Amino acid sequence: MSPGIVVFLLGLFAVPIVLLSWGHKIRWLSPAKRSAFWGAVIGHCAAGVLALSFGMIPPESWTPDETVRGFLGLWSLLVLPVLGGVGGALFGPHRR
Amino acid sequence: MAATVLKPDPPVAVRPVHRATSRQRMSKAAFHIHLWLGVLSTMALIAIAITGILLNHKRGLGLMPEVEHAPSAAFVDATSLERLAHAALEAAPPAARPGWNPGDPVDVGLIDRMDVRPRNGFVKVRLRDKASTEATVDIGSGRVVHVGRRGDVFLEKLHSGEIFGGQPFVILSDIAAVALVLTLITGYWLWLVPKLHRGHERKKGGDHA
Repeated sequence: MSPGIVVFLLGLFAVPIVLLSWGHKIRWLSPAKRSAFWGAVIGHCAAGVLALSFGMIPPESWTPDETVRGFLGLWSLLVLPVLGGVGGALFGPHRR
Repeated sequence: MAATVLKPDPPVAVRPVHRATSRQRMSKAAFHIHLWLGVLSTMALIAIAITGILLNHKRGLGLMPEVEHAPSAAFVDATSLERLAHAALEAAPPAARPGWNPGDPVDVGLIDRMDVRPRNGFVKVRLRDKASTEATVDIGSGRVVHVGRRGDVFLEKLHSGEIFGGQPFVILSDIAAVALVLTLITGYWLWLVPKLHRGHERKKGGDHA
């Protein structure tokens, strides 16, 4: 199993589970953590749309040195929620 | 003789023990199954649903070539499979048959499948290239009727999960399907059981009145 597939499976199944268990405690989280949570949720939703869209590009259109499709199709489901979480914690509305 | 006076025990504050009924326990379990499985399988189910809709309309969307054809000869006079495959390979674009040149013997490694349609009088020869190129060949004359790509093959693999690494990954769509069934059942439970219970309680209250 390639690293891309492992990351994809983590993003597909592990990230929603982590977000859901995190969301259960949202009332007791600090404002920064709440912003991080919502950032991660938005990141995961955006990644879902991107992964679906780029995943449906037919294989004859793929080029061997293409990285954007691989990133958005496989890695984005894990990377974007993490980036969204970090972004939410650093620049979320709690800082205003 | 001293009289024995029996005094009652002082009242002890009895804390009511709330025991969940089996219905309440089932409802709680149903809620958690519904929530966790729903969240776990959302992305996979959306992908399966979208690819399913596209596959249902593959002809309309032009993902699968529609070739109208009538048999040009009796089935008994059909050309040999080897000659039909040769004709298909010759007609296919060079990118779809790497390393094979017209005149070479048929390389079966390049062919995915040959789908014979005796009533229509043609065979669909699908190649194993990225685009899943398919040539439609008349089984009577060996004439190539149509050459085109099969966009639905990739969608089918995405739909089943096979695209991620072959047959073992079909388990991904199986997991999503089982999750969907359990989510539906628990959804019905969560909606229907409180309604039925309330109706039952109301009836009981009406009987006592």
